[in-house]
Amino acid sequence: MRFTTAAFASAARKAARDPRIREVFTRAGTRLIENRDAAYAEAPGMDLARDAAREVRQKGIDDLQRWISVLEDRLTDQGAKVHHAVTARDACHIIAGILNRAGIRDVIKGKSMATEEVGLNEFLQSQGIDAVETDLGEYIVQLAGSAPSHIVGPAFHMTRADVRAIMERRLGERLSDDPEDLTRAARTVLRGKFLSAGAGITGANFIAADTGTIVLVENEGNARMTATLPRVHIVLAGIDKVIPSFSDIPTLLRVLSRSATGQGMPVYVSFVTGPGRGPLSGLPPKDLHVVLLDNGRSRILADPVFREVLLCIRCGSCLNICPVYRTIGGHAYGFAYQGPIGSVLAPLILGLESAAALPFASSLCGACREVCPVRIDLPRLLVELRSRVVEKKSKRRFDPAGAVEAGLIRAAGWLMETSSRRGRFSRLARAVSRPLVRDGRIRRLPYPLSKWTRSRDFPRPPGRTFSAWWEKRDRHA
Amino acid sequence: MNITFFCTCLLENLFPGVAKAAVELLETFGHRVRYHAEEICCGQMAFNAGYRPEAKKLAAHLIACLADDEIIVTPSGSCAAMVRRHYADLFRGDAAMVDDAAELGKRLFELSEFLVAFGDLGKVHGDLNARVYFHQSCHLTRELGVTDQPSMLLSKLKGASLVGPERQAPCCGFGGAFSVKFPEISSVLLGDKAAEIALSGADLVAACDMGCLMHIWGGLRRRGSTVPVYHLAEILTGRGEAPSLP
Amino acid sequence: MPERLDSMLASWERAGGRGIATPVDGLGPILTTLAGEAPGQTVALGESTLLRRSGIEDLLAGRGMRVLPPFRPIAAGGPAARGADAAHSEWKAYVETLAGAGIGITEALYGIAETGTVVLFDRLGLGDPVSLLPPVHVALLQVDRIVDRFEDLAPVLGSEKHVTLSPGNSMVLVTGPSRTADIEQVLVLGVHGPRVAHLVIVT
Repeated sequence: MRFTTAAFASAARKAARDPRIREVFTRAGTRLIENRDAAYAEAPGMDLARDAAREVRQKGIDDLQRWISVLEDRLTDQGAKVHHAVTARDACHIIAGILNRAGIRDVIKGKSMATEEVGLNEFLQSQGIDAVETDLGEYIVQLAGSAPSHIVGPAFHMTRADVRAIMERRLGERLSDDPEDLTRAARTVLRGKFLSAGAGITGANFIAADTGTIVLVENEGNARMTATLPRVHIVLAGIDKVIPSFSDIPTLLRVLSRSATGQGMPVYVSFVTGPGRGPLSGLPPKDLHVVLLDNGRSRILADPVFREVLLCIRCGSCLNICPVYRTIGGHAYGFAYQGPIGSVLAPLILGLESAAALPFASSLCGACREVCPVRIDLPRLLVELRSRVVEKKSKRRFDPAGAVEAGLIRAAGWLMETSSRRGRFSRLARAVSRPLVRDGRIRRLPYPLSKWTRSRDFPRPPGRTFSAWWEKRDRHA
Repeated sequence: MNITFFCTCLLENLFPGVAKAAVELLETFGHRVRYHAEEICCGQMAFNAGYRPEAKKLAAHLIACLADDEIIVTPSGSCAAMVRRHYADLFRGDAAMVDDAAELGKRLFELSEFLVAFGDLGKVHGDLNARVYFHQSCHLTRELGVTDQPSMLLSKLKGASLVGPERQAPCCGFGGAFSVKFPEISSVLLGDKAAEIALSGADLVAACDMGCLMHIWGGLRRRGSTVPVYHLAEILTGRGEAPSLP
Repeated sequence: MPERLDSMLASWERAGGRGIATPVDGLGPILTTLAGEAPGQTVALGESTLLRRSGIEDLLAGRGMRVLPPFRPIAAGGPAARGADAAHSEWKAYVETLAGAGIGITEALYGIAETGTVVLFDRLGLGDPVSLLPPVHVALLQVDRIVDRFEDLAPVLGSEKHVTLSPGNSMVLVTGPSRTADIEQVLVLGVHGPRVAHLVIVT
């Protein structure tokens, strides 16, 4: 596939050396977290609100198959068509099939991480179907031929000059780099698409099983237009978006925008219940298709530790606060989801082999867990993934680096066992390091310890353990 | 009180002077300190690196060694957090071990936490006459909830003033093995921390975790800064001794 | 309740909207003034008892302003009576005209004071395009339809009655004008939806 998670370690290293990336994502993340914190401080009872949000999401995933079944019945009764996509490929084929049968070649898209996850745009393109992104950030990124770098702000990695250059080139008109001007140009082009497209494809923030209501959250208005104007509306949503009841929606809305952007409410929340138009409008009813995407979610659900990740409501807070994400930006992750949540989802969805390095790119500082509106213990999930990676590696026959690491960990454990072993090692380390010491510090260590000394001094081994000091003191006491 | 000292593998092997300072501090406050040389590792490093069986072995050993000790004090926020917050996960599925681990957690304290909880705050005295940048380690604050105790203790020293950001500053970038697995990212965060320290005008840096401290110290020295870096235990004796890290 | 009114206006304004309160006989003049801010442009109207009572269609026509009445396809002689194709092309023509309108006026079903949110409800299941396509939107709201929090409203909105009466994309919560910060995090209003959002609370 086109995800580059396997190259994460080198991408991250490269990105960490680029100060522009760090500047952009630190600025974006800091601003968004400040807004989030202000919104949380201003509204009463937000701690309880997070507990309630978690409870609602937990209720959903604890009985997910049942809710999906209720939802399917409800949607079918309303005249919508429900499709189940087991794999990413299935989702692409199902959606292309719907469009081909309807003879639709021009499609507009509301922002949907699920469609990124399955690579829908590229697939539709290969089928001769033109899918235009309508969310401003996604549109710009699509024009640039690159990938989104943040769940909420896909074009954060671009400066206004970058955006202007791309838009001028692709639209063939002179523009200033004033964001107002650029936005206006996009609005005009996309307005034309909204009015002429044969089908609109959106994701879903939540889908309430009891009423069959698809909830679309946004600030621009493009999701409303995408869902409203064309005759055909296709929704692609992960099965984890299904919630038991319409009455759960306020609980989730209470935390979603406050966490994502610091707004009390998103500008637009659409409730799509059944196909639009119909008898009262005098128009034939719309075609509403809901494609429920598995792509590994059932497998994740079945895992007692990892199922917690399905509580995520895609607010982006964990990205915004993550010191690693702020340093390397979104593209390094090479996946539809970035930051802490991306580091958990990538190995779970794409497989440990393809994304083994991501869970290790964390200092486990816990800031993400602190801001998560549904209190997902992301550091715990990262450590669990690390142990699964190590376990998998141990079963491989040829893995020199893994064998060395395991050897070191076990050797350390062995050394720790007795104070005499530690004492001997301590004296040895002091002796061996003597030639490396300048002014009481070590500036350079051989590989692989050079990874430390590239940017930091290392302390001189003391030559004597605490236990040795204690024992001596004890003897003289 | 009778206290058992849990020195941690990092202090045992690299910073015995800090462990010594902690023991002497506790004794200055009138406590009788015991130490078992067999129990020195909580298994955090192995656990965070993904080596669960190895971590379990070390943790089980620690739990067994400390089974009969009433109060255990450790000069490491991250090790205390490992025991109190992560042993339940490490031993999940083994109800007996989870219980034993929880039980140990009730008796194990990080140093500054212990000093304040057990009434030693009033015993801290001496001169410092310095602006202190106290580094709030992630595990100490977020996992143990030890946010105020170190500054409360420092404020008892004459002439001590705390400088630096009021809110929790971002991670220093140590993160154990992370510091060598992703050294490029680690050193960016370290650079930010060093800049913050310089900006604060601090005369010295202190913390309750030697992992963070050795990383911060290493970065400061590499950048030519001579700001002294202390473990909290080395300062609270009030004797103005030189720190372990030169 | 006066506190709810003040709170509603304050929240709406915090979200970047412009708000005003008026007794019902002030509605006509206010709407005429707002319509006048987009001179030479069509005024699109949604289905609304308040609008009918205000006599706005005549007021505007009287000032020489073009009015686009609500899409009423099943009225006598309306497009639906002439068959599905006719209905569809009437709809297309309506949307084109609406897209060129300068201002759209609709009536909200409810208001939520905590966040400055109005609930729009399109009985025809068309997604309330009058509130979305023109660059200026005016939402009318009766003061006694303001509640404190969305939690207070959800049981009603999620009830069988409301849900079956609102097919498709027809219940929408709107909080201020369309916005984005996608380019360098600079706030820009009126991305796809309206740039200016007025709220007129009728007391």
